[in-house]
Amino acid sequence: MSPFPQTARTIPWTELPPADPNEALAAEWETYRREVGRLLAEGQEGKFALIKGDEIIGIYDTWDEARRIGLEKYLLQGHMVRPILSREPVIRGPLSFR
Amino acid sequence: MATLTFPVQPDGLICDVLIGLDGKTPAALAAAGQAILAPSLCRGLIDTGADITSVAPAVLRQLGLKIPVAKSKTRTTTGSAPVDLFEVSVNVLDLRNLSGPKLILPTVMVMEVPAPLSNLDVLIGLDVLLTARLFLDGPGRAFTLDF
Repeated sequence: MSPFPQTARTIPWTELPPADPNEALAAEWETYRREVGRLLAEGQEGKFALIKGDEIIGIYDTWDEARRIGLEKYLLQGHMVRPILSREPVIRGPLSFR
Repeated sequence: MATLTFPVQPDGLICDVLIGLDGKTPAALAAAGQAILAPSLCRGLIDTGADITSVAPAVLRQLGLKIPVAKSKTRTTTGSAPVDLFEVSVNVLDLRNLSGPKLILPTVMVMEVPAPLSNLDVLIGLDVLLTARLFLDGPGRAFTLDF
């Protein structure tokens, strides 16, 4: 089971905001934003992408598999694992920071 | 069923929390010959208004977690923004009774709080709370977690 957050409120993938270029995983986030439409069209929704920089390293059936391979290849270096979703969860953060 | 009981404190529903590496990372670190840092004992606040648990940056850094594993999206006062997500283990426990019950979650995806928390390390969100029963006894100034 994926630990990726699931929330009541979602937005379509087309509305994913850009990352700040200076923040961690900005390149990986932009790669996901660029590729998610194609991945959904290929029927990959619900699978898990392992992304390093501007490259999708692999698509996996489970979170655990994508995470394990990400750790094996990159350990604590920057890489992103995330589900391929047509609708992105909108996370309500801590009340103090809303 | 196990029960953890905490007094309601002036700054809210406070509990003891142990934040550690998630189940997969220590094995990968060991295989690479790298040190595995011990879990961090934290002061947590129950936040039923948050979808997911948030952890102070200093706690994540103590575990060697500098780079998130994923990003998602959060709503802010000025619109929306990507939010950094880290995979950790979360244990809720009572330091006054170390041999007592512990709510153990080996893998939880948490967000890094965007600013330092005053006198707090962790904000326990619905992702953790929905694994237990939360009962607030207002007049008794206590709350319990059953799991």
